[in-house]
Amino acid sequence: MEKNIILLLSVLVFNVQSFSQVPDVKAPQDNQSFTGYFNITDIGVLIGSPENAHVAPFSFMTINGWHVSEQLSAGLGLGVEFLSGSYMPVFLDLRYYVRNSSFSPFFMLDCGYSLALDDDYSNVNRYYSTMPWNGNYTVTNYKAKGGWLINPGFGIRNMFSENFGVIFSVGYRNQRLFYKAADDHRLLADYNRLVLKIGILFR
Amino acid sequence: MRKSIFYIFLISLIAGTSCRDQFTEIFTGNSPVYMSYDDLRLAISQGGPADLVNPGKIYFKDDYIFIVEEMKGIHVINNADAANPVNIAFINIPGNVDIAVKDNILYADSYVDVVALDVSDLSNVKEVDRVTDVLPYSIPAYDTEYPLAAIDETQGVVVDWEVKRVKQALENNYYPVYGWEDGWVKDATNGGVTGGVTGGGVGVGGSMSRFGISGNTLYAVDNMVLHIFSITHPDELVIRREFSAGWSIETMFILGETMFLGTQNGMRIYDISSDVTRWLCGMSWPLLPLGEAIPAAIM
Repeated sequence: MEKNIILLLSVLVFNVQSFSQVPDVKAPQDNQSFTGYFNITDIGVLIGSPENAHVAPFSFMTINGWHVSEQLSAGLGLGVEFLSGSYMPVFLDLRYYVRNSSFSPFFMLDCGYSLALDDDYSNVNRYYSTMPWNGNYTVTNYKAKGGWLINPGFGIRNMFSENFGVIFSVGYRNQRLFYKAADDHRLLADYNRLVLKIGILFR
Repeated sequence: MRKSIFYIFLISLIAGTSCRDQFTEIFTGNSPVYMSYDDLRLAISQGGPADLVNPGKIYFKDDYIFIVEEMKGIHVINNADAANPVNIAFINIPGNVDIAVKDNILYADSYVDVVALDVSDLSNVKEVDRVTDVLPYSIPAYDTEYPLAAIDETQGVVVDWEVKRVKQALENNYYPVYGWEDGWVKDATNGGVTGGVTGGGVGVGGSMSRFGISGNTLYAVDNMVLHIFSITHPDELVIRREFSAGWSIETMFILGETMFLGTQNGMRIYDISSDVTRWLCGMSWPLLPLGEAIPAAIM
Protein backbone atom coordinates (compact mmCIF):
# COMPACT_ATOMS: atom_id res chain seq x y z
CA MET A 1 0.00 0.00 0.00
CA GLU A 2 2.75 2.41 0.97
CA LYS A 3 4.71 1.55 -2.13
CA ASN A 4 1.65 2.21 -4.27
CA ILE A 5 1.17 5.62 -2.74
CA ILE A 6 4.80 6.45 -3.39
CA LEU A 7 4.48 5.22 -6.95
CA LEU A 8 1.37 7.33 -7.47
CA LEU A 9 3.04 10.44 -6.11
CA SER A 10 6.13 9.80 -8.16
CA VAL A 11 4.19 9.35 -11.34
CA LEU A 12 2.29 12.55 -10.71
CA VAL A 13 5.52 14.45 -10.29
CA PHE A 14 7.00 12.73 -13.26
CA ASN A 15 4.04 13.60 -15.44
CA VAL A 16 4.36 17.25 -14.57
CA GLN A 17 8.01 17.11 -15.46
CA SER A 18 7.59 15.28 -18.74
CA PHE A 19 4.48 14.00 -20.46
CA SER A 20 6.38 12.63 -23.36
CA GLN A 21 8.31 9.97 -21.54
CA VAL A 22 5.88 7.43 -20.17
CA PRO A 23 7.69 4.81 -18.12
CA ASP A 24 7.71 1.28 -19.40
CA VAL A 25 6.02 -0.48 -16.53
CA LYS A 26 7.59 -3.90 -16.61
CA ALA A 27 8.32 -5.87 -13.52
CA PRO A 28 11.90 -5.36 -12.43
CA GLN A 29 14.18 -8.34 -13.00
CA ASP A 30 16.77 -9.43 -10.50
CA ASN A 31 19.32 -9.87 -13.22
CA GLN A 32 18.60 -6.59 -15.00
CA SER A 33 21.45 -4.37 -16.02
CA PHE A 34 21.83 -0.93 -14.48
CA THR A 35 24.27 0.44 -17.01
CA GLY A 36 23.64 3.28 -19.41
CA TYR A 37 21.87 6.63 -19.35
CA PHE A 38 19.64 7.70 -16.48
CA ASN A 39 17.78 10.75 -15.27
CA ILE A 40 16.95 11.61 -11.70
CA THR A 41 14.54 14.45 -11.00
CA ASP A 42 13.90 15.25 -7.40
CA ILE A 43 12.31 17.82 -5.15
CA GLY A 44 12.97 18.49 -1.52
CA VAL A 45 13.75 20.92 1.23
CA LEU A 46 16.95 22.23 2.81
CA ILE A 47 16.13 22.08 6.49
CA GLY A 48 17.93 24.31 8.96
CA SER A 49 17.57 25.72 12.42
CA PRO A 50 14.33 27.57 13.18
CA GLU A 51 16.55 30.55 14.00
CA ASN A 52 17.47 30.89 10.35
CA ALA A 53 15.76 33.40 8.14
CA HIS A 54 14.86 30.70 5.64
CA VAL A 55 14.06 27.58 7.62
CA ALA A 56 13.34 25.11 4.84
CA PRO A 57 13.74 26.51 1.35
CA PHE A 58 12.57 24.49 -1.63
CA SER A 59 14.96 22.63 -3.91
CA PHE A 60 14.35 21.17 -7.35
CA MET A 61 17.04 19.31 -9.27
CA THR A 62 17.41 17.16 -12.32
CA ILE A 63 20.45 15.01 -13.02
CA ASN A 64 21.37 13.45 -16.32
CA GLY A 65 24.10 10.86 -16.08
CA TRP A 66 25.59 7.55 -17.00
CA HIS A 67 26.16 4.38 -15.09
CA VAL A 68 29.90 3.91 -15.26
CA SER A 69 29.36 0.42 -13.87
CA GLU A 70 26.47 -1.53 -12.42
CA GLN A 71 26.91 0.19 -9.08
CA LEU A 72 28.64 3.48 -9.87
CA SER A 73 27.09 6.43 -11.68
CA ALA A 74 28.17 9.92 -12.61
CA GLY A 75 25.98 12.75 -13.79
CA LEU A 76 25.63 16.44 -14.35
CA GLY A 77 22.95 18.20 -12.36
CA LEU A 78 21.01 21.39 -12.73
CA GLY A 79 18.37 22.86 -10.48
CA VAL A 80 16.77 25.78 -8.82
CA GLU A 81 16.77 26.65 -5.11
CA PHE A 82 15.55 29.52 -2.98
CA LEU A 83 17.91 30.37 -0.16
CA SER A 84 18.30 34.11 0.38
CA GLY A 85 17.35 34.49 -3.26
CA SER A 86 17.01 32.30 -6.31
CA TYR A 87 19.98 30.16 -7.29
CA MET A 88 20.72 27.65 -10.01
CA PRO A 89 23.03 24.89 -8.79
CA VAL A 90 25.22 23.29 -11.44
CA PHE A 91 26.97 20.24 -10.08
CA LEU A 92 28.62 16.91 -10.59
CA ASP A 93 26.71 13.98 -9.10
CA LEU A 94 28.42 10.73 -8.08
CA ARG A 95 26.49 7.75 -6.69
CA TYR A 96 27.51 4.37 -5.45
CA TYR A 97 24.76 1.76 -5.18
CA VAL A 98 25.44 -0.83 -2.52
CA ARG A 99 23.49 -3.60 -4.27
CA ASN A 100 23.15 -4.49 -7.86
CA SER A 101 19.42 -4.96 -7.56
CA SER A 102 16.18 -3.05 -7.98
CA PHE A 103 16.10 -2.11 -4.32
CA SER A 104 19.39 -0.69 -3.17
CA PRO A 105 20.76 1.80 -0.69
CA PHE A 106 23.26 4.22 -2.14
CA PHE A 107 25.77 6.86 -1.18
CA MET A 108 26.04 10.07 -3.11
CA LEU A 109 28.17 13.18 -3.42
CA ASP A 110 27.24 16.40 -5.21
CA CYS A 111 29.85 19.10 -5.81
CA GLY A 112 29.36 22.24 -7.80
CA TYR A 113 28.53 25.89 -7.93
CA SER A 114 25.27 27.76 -7.39
CA LEU A 115 24.75 30.59 -9.82
CA ALA A 116 22.83 33.60 -8.53
CA LEU A 117 19.62 34.30 -10.41
CA ASP A 118 18.72 37.35 -8.30
CA ASP A 119 21.05 40.30 -8.18
CA ASP A 120 20.36 42.19 -4.99
CA TYR A 121 20.54 41.34 -1.36
CA SER A 122 20.24 44.07 1.23
CA ASN A 123 19.19 42.53 4.51
CA VAL A 124 22.24 43.37 6.56
CA ASN A 125 22.58 46.54 8.58
CA ARG A 126 26.02 47.91 9.30
CA TYR A 127 26.31 50.06 12.36
CA TYR A 128 29.03 52.65 12.32
CA SER A 129 28.50 53.91 15.81
CA THR A 130 27.78 52.53 19.19
CA MET A 131 24.21 53.38 19.86
CA PRO A 132 21.61 51.82 17.59
CA TRP A 133 19.06 54.42 18.58
CA ASN A 134 21.31 57.11 17.16
CA GLY A 135 20.30 55.80 13.78
CA ASN A 136 23.94 55.95 12.83
CA TYR A 137 23.94 52.97 10.54
CA THR A 138 23.67 52.13 6.90
CA VAL A 139 21.96 49.39 4.99
CA THR A 140 24.35 47.84 2.54
CA ASN A 141 23.15 46.67 -0.82
CA TYR A 142 24.97 43.58 -1.94
CA LYS A 143 25.09 41.83 -5.24
CA ALA A 144 24.77 38.07 -5.00
CA LYS A 145 27.62 36.28 -6.68
CA GLY A 146 26.76 32.62 -6.04
CA GLY A 147 29.03 30.12 -4.39
CA TRP A 148 30.30 26.59 -4.01
CA LEU A 149 28.24 23.69 -2.78
CA ILE A 150 29.04 20.24 -1.47
CA ASN A 151 26.36 17.71 -0.62
CA PRO A 152 27.20 14.23 0.63
CA GLY A 153 24.29 11.96 1.42
CA PHE A 154 22.74 8.56 1.29
CA GLY A 155 19.43 7.15 0.19
CA ILE A 156 17.38 4.32 -1.21
CA ARG A 157 16.58 3.46 -4.80
CA ASN A 158 13.55 1.34 -5.51
CA MET A 159 12.91 0.39 -9.13
CA PHE A 160 9.32 -0.36 -9.96
CA SER A 161 10.21 -1.43 -13.47
CA GLU A 162 13.31 -1.77 -15.59
CA ASN A 163 13.08 1.87 -16.51
CA PHE A 164 11.36 3.58 -13.65
CA GLY A 165 12.00 3.90 -9.98
CA VAL A 166 11.79 6.20 -7.02
CA ILE A 167 14.55 7.66 -4.91
CA PHE A 168 14.63 8.90 -1.35
CA SER A 169 17.70 10.65 -0.09
CA VAL A 170 18.99 12.37 3.00
CA GLY A 171 22.07 14.53 2.86
CA TYR A 172 24.06 17.33 4.36
CA ARG A 173 24.51 20.47 2.32
CA ASN A 174 27.18 23.04 2.81
CA GLN A 175 26.41 25.97 0.58
CA ARG A 176 28.61 29.02 0.60
CA LEU A 177 27.20 32.13 -0.98
CA PHE A 178 29.24 35.18 -1.75
CA TYR A 179 27.93 38.75 -1.76
CA LYS A 180 29.74 41.85 -2.90
CA ALA A 181 28.92 45.47 -2.04
CA ALA A 182 29.81 48.52 -4.07
CA ASP A 183 32.59 49.36 -1.60
CA ASP A 184 35.06 46.77 -0.38
CA HIS A 185 32.56 45.12 1.94
CA ARG A 186 32.05 41.42 1.34
CA LEU A 187 29.67 38.96 2.89
CA LEU A 188 29.99 35.20 3.06
CA ALA A 189 26.96 33.14 3.97
CA ASP A 190 27.46 29.51 4.93
CA TYR A 191 24.31 27.47 4.87
CA ASN A 192 24.53 24.16 6.66
CA ARG A 193 21.39 22.24 5.91
CA LEU A 194 19.85 18.83 6.13
CA VAL A 195 18.55 17.88 2.70
CA LEU A 196 15.48 15.68 2.40
CA LYS A 197 14.49 14.69 -1.11
CA ILE A 198 12.15 12.48 -3.05
CA GLY A 199 12.65 11.88 -6.71
CA ILE A 200 12.05 9.70 -9.68
CA LEU A 201 14.59 7.82 -11.71
CA PHE A 202 14.12 6.66 -15.24
CA ARG A 203 16.38 5.22 -17.85
CA MET B 1 9.00 1.86 6.80
CA ARG B 2 7.71 3.39 10.02
CA LYS B 3 11.16 3.02 11.51
CA SER B 4 12.64 4.80 8.52
CA ILE B 5 10.21 7.66 8.90
CA PHE B 6 11.05 7.83 12.58
CA TYR B 7 14.78 7.98 11.88
CA ILE B 8 14.33 10.62 9.18
CA PHE B 9 12.24 12.65 11.62
CA LEU B 10 14.88 12.23 14.31
CA ILE B 11 17.70 13.31 12.00
CA SER B 12 15.62 16.28 10.86
CA LEU B 13 15.05 17.31 14.43
CA ILE B 14 18.75 17.13 15.30
CA ALA B 15 19.82 18.92 12.15
CA GLY B 16 17.05 21.45 12.47
CA THR B 17 18.30 22.56 15.83
CA SER B 18 21.99 22.53 14.95
CA CYS B 19 22.11 23.65 11.30
CA ARG B 20 22.42 27.34 11.89
CA ASP B 21 23.40 29.58 9.02
CA GLN B 22 26.66 31.39 9.52
CA PHE B 23 27.49 34.79 8.11
CA THR B 24 30.95 36.28 7.81
CA GLU B 25 31.69 39.82 6.77
CA ILE B 26 34.94 41.10 5.35
CA PHE B 27 35.65 44.80 5.28
CA THR B 28 38.25 47.47 5.86
CA GLY B 29 37.63 48.77 9.35
CA ASN B 30 38.96 49.89 12.70
CA SER B 31 40.42 46.79 14.30
CA PRO B 32 40.98 47.12 18.06
CA VAL B 33 44.43 46.95 19.63
CA TYR B 34 44.03 45.60 23.15
CA MET B 35 45.81 46.04 26.46
CA SER B 36 45.04 43.23 28.87
CA TYR B 37 43.39 44.05 32.17
CA ASP B 38 46.48 42.82 34.02
CA ASP B 39 48.70 45.18 32.05
CA LEU B 40 46.24 48.01 32.56
CA ARG B 41 46.50 47.62 36.32
CA LEU B 42 50.28 47.82 36.18
CA ALA B 43 50.47 50.65 33.67
CA ILE B 44 50.46 53.73 35.86
CA SER B 45 53.88 55.29 35.91
CA GLN B 46 55.50 58.66 36.08
CA GLY B 47 57.78 60.18 33.53
CA GLY B 48 59.37 63.48 32.68
CA PRO B 49 57.45 66.36 31.14
CA ALA B 50 55.80 65.64 27.82
CA ASP B 51 54.37 67.85 25.10
CA LEU B 52 50.65 68.45 25.09
CA VAL B 53 49.28 66.67 22.03
CA ASN B 54 45.59 66.18 22.66
CA PRO B 55 44.81 67.93 25.92
CA GLY B 56 41.48 67.44 27.63
CA LYS B 57 40.33 68.40 31.11
CA ILE B 58 42.22 70.97 33.11
CA TYR B 59 42.24 71.03 36.91
CA PHE B 60 43.69 73.55 39.29
CA LYS B 61 44.97 72.58 42.71
CA ASP B 62 47.05 74.93 44.80
CA ASP B 63 50.13 75.83 42.79
CA TYR B 64 49.65 73.10 40.25
CA ILE B 65 47.70 72.63 37.08
CA PHE B 66 46.78 69.13 36.01
CA ILE B 67 45.97 68.75 32.32
CA VAL B 68 44.58 65.50 31.00
CA GLU B 69 46.22 64.14 27.86
CA GLU B 70 43.20 62.40 26.44
CA MET B 71 43.28 58.65 27.09
CA LYS B 72 46.98 58.80 27.96
CA GLY B 73 47.54 60.47 31.33
CA ILE B 74 48.09 63.76 33.09
CA HIS B 75 50.49 66.62 32.53
CA VAL B 76 51.60 68.30 35.74
CA ILE B 77 52.33 72.01 35.45
CA ASN B 78 53.91 74.00 38.27
CA ASN B 79 52.00 77.27 38.30
CA ALA B 80 53.63 78.85 41.36
CA ASP B 81 54.78 81.59 39.06
CA ALA B 82 51.67 82.21 37.00
CA ALA B 83 53.66 84.24 34.54
CA ASN B 84 55.99 81.35 33.94
CA PRO B 85 54.28 77.95 34.34
CA VAL B 86 56.63 74.99 34.14
CA ASN B 87 55.73 71.59 32.75
CA ILE B 88 57.33 69.31 35.32
CA ALA B 89 55.98 65.77 34.87
CA PHE B 90 53.68 63.41 33.05
CA ILE B 91 51.72 60.66 34.79
CA ASN B 92 50.88 57.74 32.50
CA ILE B 93 47.28 56.65 33.11
CA PRO B 94 45.86 54.66 30.18
CA GLY B 95 42.28 55.59 29.39
CA ASN B 96 42.24 58.69 31.53
CA VAL B 97 39.63 61.31 30.74
CA ASP B 98 38.81 63.00 34.01
CA ILE B 99 40.34 63.77 37.39
CA ALA B 100 39.55 65.23 40.80
CA VAL B 101 41.82 66.06 43.69
CA LYS B 102 41.29 66.04 47.44
CA ASP B 103 44.14 66.88 49.76
CA ASN B 104 47.10 64.97 48.38
CA ILE B 105 45.10 62.34 46.57
CA LEU B 106 44.30 62.57 42.87
CA TYR B 107 41.40 60.49 41.62
CA ALA B 108 41.35 59.50 37.97
CA ASP B 109 39.53 57.14 35.69
CA SER B 110 41.52 54.55 33.82
CA TYR B 111 39.16 52.89 31.34
CA VAL B 112 36.88 50.78 33.55
CA ASP B 113 38.74 51.51 36.78
CA VAL B 114 38.97 54.47 39.14
CA VAL B 115 42.36 54.98 40.74
CA ALA B 116 43.60 57.02 43.68
CA LEU B 117 47.13 58.45 43.36
CA ASP B 118 49.18 60.02 46.09
CA VAL B 119 50.57 63.21 44.54
CA SER B 120 52.12 64.65 47.70
CA ASP B 121 55.50 64.11 46.09
CA LEU B 122 55.19 64.92 42.41
CA SER B 123 58.55 63.35 41.75
CA ASN B 124 57.23 60.05 43.07
CA VAL B 125 53.51 59.58 42.36
CA LYS B 126 52.14 56.39 43.87
CA GLU B 127 48.95 54.44 43.26
CA VAL B 128 47.31 53.98 46.64
CA ASP B 129 43.99 52.42 45.72
CA ARG B 130 41.94 51.25 42.78
CA VAL B 131 38.34 50.21 42.23
CA THR B 132 38.16 47.86 39.27
CA ASP B 133 35.40 47.35 36.73
CA VAL B 134 33.28 50.17 38.03
CA LEU B 135 33.01 52.42 34.99
CA PRO B 136 31.51 51.46 31.65
CA TYR B 137 33.73 50.11 28.91
CA SER B 138 35.05 53.02 26.87
CA ILE B 139 36.92 53.17 23.62
CA PRO B 140 39.31 55.73 22.16
CA ALA B 141 38.43 57.87 19.18
CA TYR B 142 38.57 56.07 15.86
CA ASP B 143 38.63 56.89 12.18
CA THR B 144 34.97 57.47 11.40
CA GLU B 145 35.62 56.89 7.73
CA TYR B 146 35.67 53.19 8.53
CA PRO B 147 33.30 50.96 10.49
CA LEU B 148 34.23 49.42 13.79
CA ALA B 149 35.24 45.81 14.04
CA ALA B 150 33.66 43.82 16.82
CA ILE B 151 35.23 44.34 20.22
CA ASP B 152 35.94 41.44 22.54
CA GLU B 153 35.86 43.01 25.98
CA THR B 154 37.32 39.89 27.55
CA GLN B 155 40.63 40.57 25.81
CA GLY B 156 41.16 43.82 27.65
CA VAL B 157 40.66 47.49 26.92
CA VAL B 158 41.08 49.10 23.52
CA VAL B 159 44.14 51.36 23.51
CA ASP B 160 44.39 51.97 19.78
CA TRP B 161 42.91 51.15 16.40
CA GLU B 162 44.46 49.68 13.32
CA VAL B 163 42.71 50.21 10.00
CA LYS B 164 42.94 46.92 8.14
CA ARG B 165 40.89 44.18 6.51
CA VAL B 166 38.66 42.58 9.09
CA LYS B 167 36.99 39.21 8.82
CA GLN B 168 34.45 38.53 11.51
CA ALA B 169 31.31 36.59 12.20
CA LEU B 170 28.13 38.52 11.65
CA GLU B 171 25.43 37.88 14.20
CA ASN B 172 21.84 37.70 13.12
CA ASN B 173 21.02 40.52 15.52
CA TYR B 174 23.99 42.71 14.83
CA TYR B 175 23.97 45.93 16.78
CA PRO B 176 27.19 46.22 18.76
CA VAL B 177 26.65 48.48 21.75
CA TYR B 178 30.16 49.39 22.67
CA GLY B 179 29.12 51.93 25.21
CA TRP B 180 30.34 55.29 25.87
CA GLU B 181 32.29 56.86 23.08
CA ASP B 182 29.47 59.28 22.44
CA GLY B 183 29.59 60.66 25.93
CA TRP B 184 32.50 59.47 27.95
CA VAL B 185 35.29 59.72 25.47
CA LYS B 186 34.11 62.36 23.08
CA ASP B 187 33.73 64.89 25.85
CA ALA B 188 37.43 64.79 26.36
CA THR B 189 37.95 65.18 22.66
CA ASN B 190 35.70 68.18 22.51
CA GLY B 191 37.56 70.04 25.22
CA GLY B 192 35.52 73.10 25.99
CA VAL B 193 37.27 73.63 29.28
CA THR B 194 36.79 76.73 31.32
CA GLY B 195 39.00 78.06 34.07
CA GLY B 196 39.02 76.91 37.66
CA VAL B 197 39.76 78.33 41.04
CA THR B 198 41.79 77.08 43.89
CA GLY B 199 39.92 75.76 46.86
CA GLY B 200 40.70 74.87 50.41
CA GLY B 201 40.85 71.12 50.30
CA VAL B 202 39.22 70.36 47.02
CA GLY B 203 40.10 71.55 43.55
CA VAL B 204 37.46 72.66 41.10
CA GLY B 205 37.12 71.18 37.65
CA GLY B 206 36.12 72.87 34.45
CA SER B 207 32.58 72.79 33.16
CA MET B 208 33.15 69.53 31.30
CA SER B 209 34.08 67.68 34.44
CA ARG B 210 32.43 64.37 35.16
CA PHE B 211 34.25 63.86 38.41
CA GLY B 212 33.34 65.89 41.42
CA ILE B 213 34.11 65.89 45.12
CA SER B 214 31.90 67.06 47.93
CA GLY B 215 33.06 66.53 51.49
CA ASN B 216 34.07 62.91 51.84
CA THR B 217 32.36 61.78 48.67
CA LEU B 218 33.67 61.39 45.15
CA TYR B 219 31.08 61.48 42.40
CA ALA B 220 31.69 60.11 38.92
CA VAL B 221 28.97 60.29 36.34
CA ASP B 222 28.85 58.58 32.98
CA ASN B 223 26.17 58.93 30.37
CA MET B 224 23.48 57.64 32.70
CA VAL B 225 24.82 56.37 35.98
CA LEU B 226 26.10 58.28 38.97
CA HIS B 227 28.80 56.36 40.83
CA ILE B 228 29.29 57.46 44.42
CA PHE B 229 32.54 56.68 46.24
CA SER B 230 33.37 57.23 49.84
CA ILE B 231 36.73 58.91 50.38
CA THR B 232 36.49 59.42 54.11
CA HIS B 233 40.00 58.11 54.14
CA PRO B 234 41.32 59.80 50.99
CA ASP B 235 43.65 56.94 50.14
CA GLU B 236 40.79 54.43 50.31
CA LEU B 237 38.29 54.38 47.51
CA VAL B 238 35.09 52.63 48.52
CA ILE B 239 32.18 52.37 46.13
CA ARG B 240 29.11 53.32 48.09
CA ARG B 241 26.32 53.15 45.59
CA GLU B 242 25.36 53.68 41.99
CA PHE B 243 22.11 54.81 40.49
CA SER B 244 20.65 55.97 37.23
CA ALA B 245 20.77 59.74 37.22
CA GLY B 246 19.21 60.43 33.84
CA TRP B 247 19.94 60.20 30.16
CA SER B 248 22.64 61.73 27.97
CA ILE B 249 24.47 63.33 30.86
CA GLU B 250 27.36 65.44 29.66
CA THR B 251 28.63 67.50 32.57
CA MET B 252 28.72 67.63 36.33
CA PHE B 253 29.17 70.63 38.56
CA ILE B 254 29.03 70.67 42.32
CA LEU B 255 28.16 73.86 44.18
CA GLY B 256 28.08 73.41 47.92
CA GLU B 257 25.57 70.66 48.59
CA THR B 258 23.95 70.77 45.21
CA MET B 259 24.98 68.80 42.17
CA PHE B 260 24.11 69.98 38.68
CA LEU B 261 24.12 67.47 35.86
CA GLY B 262 24.01 68.96 32.40
CA THR B 263 22.29 66.72 29.88
CA GLN B 264 21.54 67.10 26.21
CA ASN B 265 17.99 68.19 27.06
CA GLY B 266 18.44 70.29 30.15
CA MET B 267 19.75 70.15 33.66
CA ARG B 268 19.07 67.86 36.56
CA ILE B 269 19.71 69.11 40.08
CA TYR B 270 20.45 66.87 43.02
CA ASP B 271 20.66 67.53 46.73
CA ILE B 272 23.80 65.82 47.98
CA SER B 273 23.71 67.19 51.52
CA SER B 274 23.17 63.74 52.97
CA ASP B 275 23.99 60.17 52.16
CA VAL B 276 20.71 59.88 50.35
CA THR B 277 21.13 61.82 47.15
CA ARG B 278 17.81 63.42 46.33
CA TRP B 279 16.67 64.56 42.96
CA LEU B 280 15.34 68.08 43.36
CA CYS B 281 14.24 68.86 39.86
CA GLY B 282 15.39 68.40 36.38
CA MET B 283 15.15 68.60 32.67
CA SER B 284 14.68 72.34 32.97
CA TRP B 285 14.28 73.78 29.53
CA PRO B 286 15.36 76.17 28.33
CA LEU B 287 18.57 76.18 30.31
CA LEU B 288 19.07 79.04 32.68
CA PRO B 289 20.93 81.91 31.05
CA LEU B 290 24.52 82.10 32.13
CA GLY B 291 24.94 84.11 35.31
CA GLU B 292 21.26 84.09 36.23
CA ALA B 293 20.45 83.06 39.77
CA ILE B 294 18.83 79.69 40.25
CA PRO B 295 15.21 80.24 41.27
CA ALA B 296 14.64 79.67 44.95
CA ALA B 297 11.79 77.32 44.12
CA ILE B 298 14.19 74.66 42.97
CA MET B 299 16.77 75.12 45.66
